[in-house]
Amino acid sequence: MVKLFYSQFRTIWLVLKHTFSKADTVQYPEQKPYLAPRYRGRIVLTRDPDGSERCVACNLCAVACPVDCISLQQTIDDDGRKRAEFFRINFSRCILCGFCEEACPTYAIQLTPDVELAEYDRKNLVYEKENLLINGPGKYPDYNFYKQSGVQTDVKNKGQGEHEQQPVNVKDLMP
Amino acid sequence: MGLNMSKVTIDERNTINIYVDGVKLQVDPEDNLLAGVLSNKLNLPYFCWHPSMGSIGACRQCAVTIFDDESQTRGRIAMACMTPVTDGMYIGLGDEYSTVFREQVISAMMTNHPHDCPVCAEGGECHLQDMTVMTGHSVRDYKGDKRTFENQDLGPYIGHEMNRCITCYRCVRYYKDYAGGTDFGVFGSRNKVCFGRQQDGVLESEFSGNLVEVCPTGVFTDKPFSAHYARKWDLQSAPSICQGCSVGCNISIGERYGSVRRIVNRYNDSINGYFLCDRGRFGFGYINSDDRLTACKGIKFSGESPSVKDIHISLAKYKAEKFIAIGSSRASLETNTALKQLLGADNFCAGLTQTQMLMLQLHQKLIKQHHCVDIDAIEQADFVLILGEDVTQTAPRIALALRQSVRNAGLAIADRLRIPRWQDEAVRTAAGKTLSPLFIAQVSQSKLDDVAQEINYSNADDIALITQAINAKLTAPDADINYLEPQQKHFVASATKALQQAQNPLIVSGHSLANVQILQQCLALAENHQGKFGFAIMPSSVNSLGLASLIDQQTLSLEQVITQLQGEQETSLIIAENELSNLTNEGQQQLLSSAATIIALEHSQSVVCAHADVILPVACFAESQGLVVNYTGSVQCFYSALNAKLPILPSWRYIQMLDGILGQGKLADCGDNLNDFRTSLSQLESHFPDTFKFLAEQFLLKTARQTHRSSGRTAMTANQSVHEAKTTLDDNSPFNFSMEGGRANNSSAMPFTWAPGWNSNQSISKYQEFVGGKLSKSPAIVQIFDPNNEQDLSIQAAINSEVKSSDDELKVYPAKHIFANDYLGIKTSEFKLTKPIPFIELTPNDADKYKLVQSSHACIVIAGEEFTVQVKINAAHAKYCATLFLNEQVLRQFDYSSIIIKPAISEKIHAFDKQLHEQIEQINQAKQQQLRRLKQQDQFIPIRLMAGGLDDG
Repeated sequence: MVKLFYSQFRTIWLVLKHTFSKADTVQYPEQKPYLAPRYRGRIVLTRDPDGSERCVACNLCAVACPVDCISLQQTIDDDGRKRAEFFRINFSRCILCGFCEEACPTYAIQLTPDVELAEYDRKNLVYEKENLLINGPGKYPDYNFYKQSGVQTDVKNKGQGEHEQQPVNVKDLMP
Repeated sequence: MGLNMSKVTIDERNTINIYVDGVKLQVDPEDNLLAGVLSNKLNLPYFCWHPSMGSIGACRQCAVTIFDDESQTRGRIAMACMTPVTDGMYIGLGDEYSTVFREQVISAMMTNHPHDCPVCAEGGECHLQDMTVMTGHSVRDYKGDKRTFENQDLGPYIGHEMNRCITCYRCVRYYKDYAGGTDFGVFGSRNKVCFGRQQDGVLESEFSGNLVEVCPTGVFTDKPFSAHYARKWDLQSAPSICQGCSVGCNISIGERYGSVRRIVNRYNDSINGYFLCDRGRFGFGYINSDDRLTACKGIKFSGESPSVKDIHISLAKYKAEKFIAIGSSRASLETNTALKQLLGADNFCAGLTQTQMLMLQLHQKLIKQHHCVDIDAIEQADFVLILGEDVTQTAPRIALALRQSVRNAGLAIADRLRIPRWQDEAVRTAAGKTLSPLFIAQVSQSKLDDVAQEINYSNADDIALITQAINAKLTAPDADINYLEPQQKHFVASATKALQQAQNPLIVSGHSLANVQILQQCLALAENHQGKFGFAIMPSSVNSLGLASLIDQQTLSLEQVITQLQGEQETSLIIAENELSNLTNEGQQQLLSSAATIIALEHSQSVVCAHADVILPVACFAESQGLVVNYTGSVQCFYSALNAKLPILPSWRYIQMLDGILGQGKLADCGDNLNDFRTSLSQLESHFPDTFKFLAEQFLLKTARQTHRSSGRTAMTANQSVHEAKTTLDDNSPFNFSMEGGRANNSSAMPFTWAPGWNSNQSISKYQEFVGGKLSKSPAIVQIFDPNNEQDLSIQAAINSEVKSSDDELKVYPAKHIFANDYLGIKTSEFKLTKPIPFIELTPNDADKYKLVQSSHACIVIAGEEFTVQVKINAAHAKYCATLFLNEQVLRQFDYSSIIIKPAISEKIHAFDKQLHEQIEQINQAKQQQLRRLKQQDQFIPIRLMAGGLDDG
């Protein structure tokens, strides 16, 4: 019985205490709350440290997307790199879950702390590649996928990547 | 399929019991442990084993633990693929011992496998990915550097990325041992071996495309597909039938964003097994080409799509004219039957010449009364006689099967030594160079020559004589065959001798030499020796025999049509999917210029379209559904992978619309649903097959054409409209144009192959009764020719037993080439680059006669037209004969009787070389341009296409 009364009074006390504490809500948009760098907001496509597109159009973000709001088409450029011919995110469908970022093997697609995605016209929420691309590497400043992969591109020849041996001479029978 | 074992169903197999992790399973005692485990739908990783190629134990991946008895806790590791099964054996599959071992094998393979999956075309359908996940290997422990290789340029079809290799040796075993290729091998030593050609160059084998499917990872990739790539999970697929030749291989077409991306093999144990030829895999270029017809000509629309009313109003002015309908052997059975019903049997031309019609009737008779065999039976043959048909070029999948059949003598040796057939290396060593007898009578060299016991080079008429002589010798050993030359006599004698010892002899021939007598002799052979022979006769086109079923006494030949057109009464033509390549230039002009009106139903530009007053653009096979009949008379159904953009409609739909104004009114009330239409056709045409088997499934759960993980649905058309379109409804087939519906294996014709944990095409083993056997749900196969149908036997094709001996004037035969046999195939850019350069081939004696010995090029004049061609002098060629390849032969016939051959002057040779260079440049440019156009189109998927086509109202 004592326990029951204690619980009641404690609750009332806690509620009353909040009357004197600092408010958590802010006067948005005049005041903006702090959002951590890893907050899941608007999606961007980043670039390599050397400035070229990171996205290799592997389709993993699209397949991970639970609302199917990413569509793209791969193309091979003359320098051997694969890029997205078009890359489209329909933000009117996006639920900012971050699965695409998690799936991305090249750190190309990243979520940013920008959440201001309101539009009067739904059409304006369809972002094409030029709207998504930013001019920097985002959260991963050093990673360059083509230095890690085995394919030959403008970034490196066979055997010049990180953790790669020189190409095998198949005509050499020496042990 | 494969290992040349006779096909039985699961119930007919003798099985023994084994215990896997304590569970009792039934396995086939003649097969290895891996096959037994997989047949029971258990997951056991493997790489080097293939159901068609047997085991060599190269990859060490399929390790299991073998225990002595139930109570034992520690066993020994063995490779399942190299282990025979014994009754009551105890196996550990999930025990820690073998599980850890398998994980370590993968981790060893991964030490050198590059970090490529995102940019690899195999990703998403990679056997190596699947097996890595299956073994549980997830973190790379090895910190050393990775081995690298330089790649090779293997031509326009196959991409090469050697870094990814895990040295399972499947490619070289397939390419050299199975497909008989000679320009591919393994080079280097120890862990630095490389698989490829001796130097860069186009792979010579007609079956090189299978490397893409045989390779468990991404070393060999499909180049045209990579250029316009989509992941397997994004492809909207449909089960279809290859339209490249008359074999009717089962294929799966993949579509994305409104364009066809690729074709892969669809397993069918009796027709194509695990393999396709390059014509079938890469020959779909015309579907996406700039040559496609996309608009009507001569029809005024009131709305966006053609309505029946529009067509009736626009065509009313032709109502009084007399029409003749010309069908085609590449159009579906529905189209041809509808065309016959549209204007009546007496106004129907099959689009064939008199000779072709006669050959088809003979072929039909052979199928009805004798034994025409499928590929499974071809692989069982212990004697093969090829009569004049170069099957490697005209029906390549048959040639691949024949290559397996010649192994039978070797397999018999292995059987005697009690070596099981799956022990590939041991069987091949035991067999040595022993081959079953393969006899070839042909005009010029073919790719099967290397496995032939004896080859005779003769002209077509002599080949008929040889057949007659073999027939005579078999009936009476002392028969007089002195009308033959000594070499031919020797050939007949040795072929007859081998034949007498054969249990399972097979005769292979075809229509490509356009010689009626060969077929008549085949028929005579069949009739004199009832039931002894199997036959594989190859007609020219995908639906030749479907068309044959419609031919009756009243059916007109092209010659008769020309006569009628030039007669007094003015006549008009309706030409459906026929480019008139069965006629000479002169014939085409006569036909097209003397017709009052020409209505063309066509999907690609042709000479007919250039002359047509009205063009109705029809759907090609990837966009429509229909029936085709293959060389054994089996009716198969192909389904649409995508909906065509209006006003493109299936041709039967247009024919139905025409019926109300130009026809007899039989088709108008057949309903606008293909099922109802087929039912009506079967009432109108007695030979029309019973299609209920093809329909039955759609009344149950419909199957999804897209994978369950298809992506981008809410974004792919968002740039045009944010309002998502309703998916297209498909009332005509058992499939949905969406990811909704049953999984792929719900249908007997699977749109694509997938099983949980198995993303590659190897997942097919989950849907077979046992690995390499029949599918658990076999696709419906209906025979078009009913042997018991009395009415069918009234064919007027008397057998001419006295073949006249040939004279000495030069006979010219058009050269056949896998990439240059038909007018649709050659629209593929890659085929234009790899087809032969125009040539003439003859013997040294004949070359001498035409003074060609010294010159590299010849000048050929046919009916006033001049061609420059390369000269090939080859002693291995029939004498008094020439084989001629011209680029134009896919468009029309040539009258070789008026041929003039002389050495080319040097100016002509220069012009020829220059033109060749220019052509290659043009083709490459056009290829790039087409790719750019397709990529632009990807962003503008027609929303009407998404939203239901015509049915959307």
